[in-house]
Amino acid sequence: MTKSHGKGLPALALAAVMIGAGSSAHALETRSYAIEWFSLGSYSQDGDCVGGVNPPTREQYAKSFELLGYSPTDVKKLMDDYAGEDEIAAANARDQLRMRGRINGQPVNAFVHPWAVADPKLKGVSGSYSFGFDLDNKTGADSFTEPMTKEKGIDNQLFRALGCIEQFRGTFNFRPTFWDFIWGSMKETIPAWLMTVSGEDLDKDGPVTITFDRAVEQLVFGPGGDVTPDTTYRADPDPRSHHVLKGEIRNKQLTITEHGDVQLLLDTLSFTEFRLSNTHLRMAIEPSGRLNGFIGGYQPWGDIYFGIAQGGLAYEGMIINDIPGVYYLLKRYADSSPDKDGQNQAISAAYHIEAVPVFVVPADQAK
Amino acid sequence: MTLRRFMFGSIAALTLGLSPAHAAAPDRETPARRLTPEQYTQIIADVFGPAIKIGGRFDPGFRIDGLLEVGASQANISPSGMEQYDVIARSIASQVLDERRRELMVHCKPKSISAPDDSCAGEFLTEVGELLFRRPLNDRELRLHVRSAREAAAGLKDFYAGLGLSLAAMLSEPQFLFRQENFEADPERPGELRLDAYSKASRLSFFLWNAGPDRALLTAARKGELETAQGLVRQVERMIASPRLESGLRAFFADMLHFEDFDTLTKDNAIYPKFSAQVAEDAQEQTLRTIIDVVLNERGDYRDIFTTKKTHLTRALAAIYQVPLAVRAPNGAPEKWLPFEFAANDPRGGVLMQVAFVTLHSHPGRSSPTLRGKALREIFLCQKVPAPPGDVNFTIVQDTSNPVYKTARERLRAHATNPVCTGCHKITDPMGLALENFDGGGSYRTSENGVPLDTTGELDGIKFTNGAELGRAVHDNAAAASCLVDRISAYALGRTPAKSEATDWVAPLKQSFAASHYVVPALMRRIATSPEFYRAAPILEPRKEAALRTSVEGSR
Repeated sequence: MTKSHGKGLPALALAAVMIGAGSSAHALETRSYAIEWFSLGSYSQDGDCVGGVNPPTREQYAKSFELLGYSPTDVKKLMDDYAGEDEIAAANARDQLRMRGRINGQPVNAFVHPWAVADPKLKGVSGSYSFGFDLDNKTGADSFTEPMTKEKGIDNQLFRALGCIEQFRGTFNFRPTFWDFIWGSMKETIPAWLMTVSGEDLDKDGPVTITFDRAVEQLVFGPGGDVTPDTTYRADPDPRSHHVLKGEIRNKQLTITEHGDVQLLLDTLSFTEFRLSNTHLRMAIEPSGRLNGFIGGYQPWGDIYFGIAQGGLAYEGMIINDIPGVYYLLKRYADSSPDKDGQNQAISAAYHIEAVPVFVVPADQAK
Repeated sequence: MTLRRFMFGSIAALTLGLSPAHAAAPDRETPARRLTPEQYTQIIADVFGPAIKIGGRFDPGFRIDGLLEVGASQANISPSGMEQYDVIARSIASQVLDERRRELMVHCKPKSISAPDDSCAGEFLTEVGELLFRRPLNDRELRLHVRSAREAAAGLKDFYAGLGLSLAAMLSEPQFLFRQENFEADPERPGELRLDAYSKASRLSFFLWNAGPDRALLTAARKGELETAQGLVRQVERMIASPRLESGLRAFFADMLHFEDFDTLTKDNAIYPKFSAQVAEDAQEQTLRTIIDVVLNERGDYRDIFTTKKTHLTRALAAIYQVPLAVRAPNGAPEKWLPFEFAANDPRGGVLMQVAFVTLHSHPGRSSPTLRGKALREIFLCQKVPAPPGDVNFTIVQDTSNPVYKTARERLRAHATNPVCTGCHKITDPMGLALENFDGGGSYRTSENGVPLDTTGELDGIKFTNGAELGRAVHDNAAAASCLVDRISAYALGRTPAKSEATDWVAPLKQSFAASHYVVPALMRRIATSPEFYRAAPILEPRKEAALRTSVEGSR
């Protein structure tokens, strides 16, 4: 029997309109959710970056000019110009920074061609704990221990790569600044991400089917700025954003048991898509009906880099201290999908997601 | 007289509380009712088209005997309100006569656009004046307005600017802003008065359409057709068959349900995150759509508004009701309405359990069985609930996190140990507690602070266990239908019927309402075709009773 996901309402016959009800011989209960929060699963602790976090943007810029061969006097002048009130001089300094890549001695855009910039050798996390999942069933030197479950062999090299950049640092309840900014701006303009869980009785332990979709509609917010629960969304019929995985509920924890691929289209102007392989999920089913936990897997690190790099000098000045440096961090810590040269093209990652109960219907059932 | 002196001469009459109607029948209740904002807007749309924008603030209304429409007869215009009317009037006149519209609006062509033209100005002012004043302008009025247009046009060297100032003046006059009714001797009842033909047309039109009379009705008035039973019935049937009847019904029910209180309704968003200004607007519309479906579209039993499972929803409302509603509309598009029917076994149905009723009669951060029960008694059963004494201690009732009294029922029980409070709470709380399944934001719940809700109660001897059964109890309560007739007859007259009218006119209306299976348009037809509807109020009754009848229940 299909139940309303809402608390307190008696059973309602929603099977006809709910996604994922399927054609099983057993009637299924279905609950749907919209993802309202999405960020890197950071677990930052004092001392997890040897010698402190990576330097702030202005220090990195000075270092970039040094790497380009400028004399200390020139570096000082460029940095003064960069922060000065002379608009022409400041624009010139910004251009130098933007075009600090070199190909055959010619300046090129550093964000488009990060490999044309010398590696600033930003540091990664050296701590032992991280949110995430054991993706390869191995416990190696680069594995973390999960702080909540105490599970060892956790693979989250994305946190290791970015976790010493101040704006990516955070904890479960303290959101990383970068994601507060990027998700905060994206969530109001991109179609909502949806999850639908189906099973015989979702209040009990047992196998479930977990469906990921992108909505036609954007998230709906209440007057307080929070996503409004119980709103109805249409699932985008575009198959690229429709993925069905097997999972289970055990002790009020929702997990994926058959780890397939998930792809969700995102914002064409920043992160164009979110792709995970070997997808893992662990979300607590809270008494309020909300889900709170992590999704993880291997993610093409090029997706991550270009999502960040599209912000260019603006992002670099505000939130990322050295974007080409991020490129080298991701390349260095990537741990999956080696290419013919042995360079890994994917990186283990875990994202903190929170989801609110909603209704999801097929787009063609809308009136 | 300058135009300004002319305009503010009219204003002075208003602000001094003068009403021309009082001069017509000094010993009668002869209400001159101030136009409601909706009526003002509708008249402007009818005369000049819906594209004319009306921006400004209207003075709030008074509610008397359960209706703003009755209070409108007591409403004056404040000095600041008059300034607003002036601003609005000038804005309307400027839009009507701007270069894009003037040829459409003014059917004659002035001899020169930079000089006065009495003939063309007179033609325009005669035409629109009849629609604005709901009667033809008399010679003096027309002369005055033409002269104003002439003097202004000459001074400004612009015919249309002059005409605009005269039009603005007309829109600021009591003859437009107030529904003034004139009486004449009633040939059927020697010594008594009845409305004259134009006042009759006006009363009929505002009752059925919440708008001024259209040209067809004014023509019928001019030809004396409204003085014959056949002619009157012809107009009433025409108007009841018109889609504009819905506007009249909406206005009546919005008034009866106190929807103007939504203008000042606030909710704590931390407690009710789904409740927004849009939801407040949608909630009113939902209830009106539900009622219109029952009483007009289906020509159904009025009492079914308390039990119907059918309604209309937007996505925002569906989220509060926790039901799926898939709407095909682009992101950012205005909320789209879709018909919706709650399942037969769903606990919800009827207007008492809709967001509008349960949120309007709640506090900003908590539900209120008392307010809901009081509203149910007063709005739908026409039973007066006394106001609480001034020195009541509400501490326990307001403490929703009280560790001992976890539900509203428990808190009210503890509060009502005070004998001063017990009497009133007995008549409100049993019904209000049946609606405790709905929190102050309209969402359904089965428990409060972890304690399952007890929603049992009793209404006039009929026991119920939840809101749905309460709706059925109200449906079956004779006072519900009787109250509707009381309200709609007072709404039609613009005053509470006098004792003799209650006996001789309203009581038979109640019988016919029941006999016609509680069909509201049939009741409206009967009112609109009855001679009593057009008569002057009886001679003022003894002061004590009159004072009681016109006790102001409160202002917004």
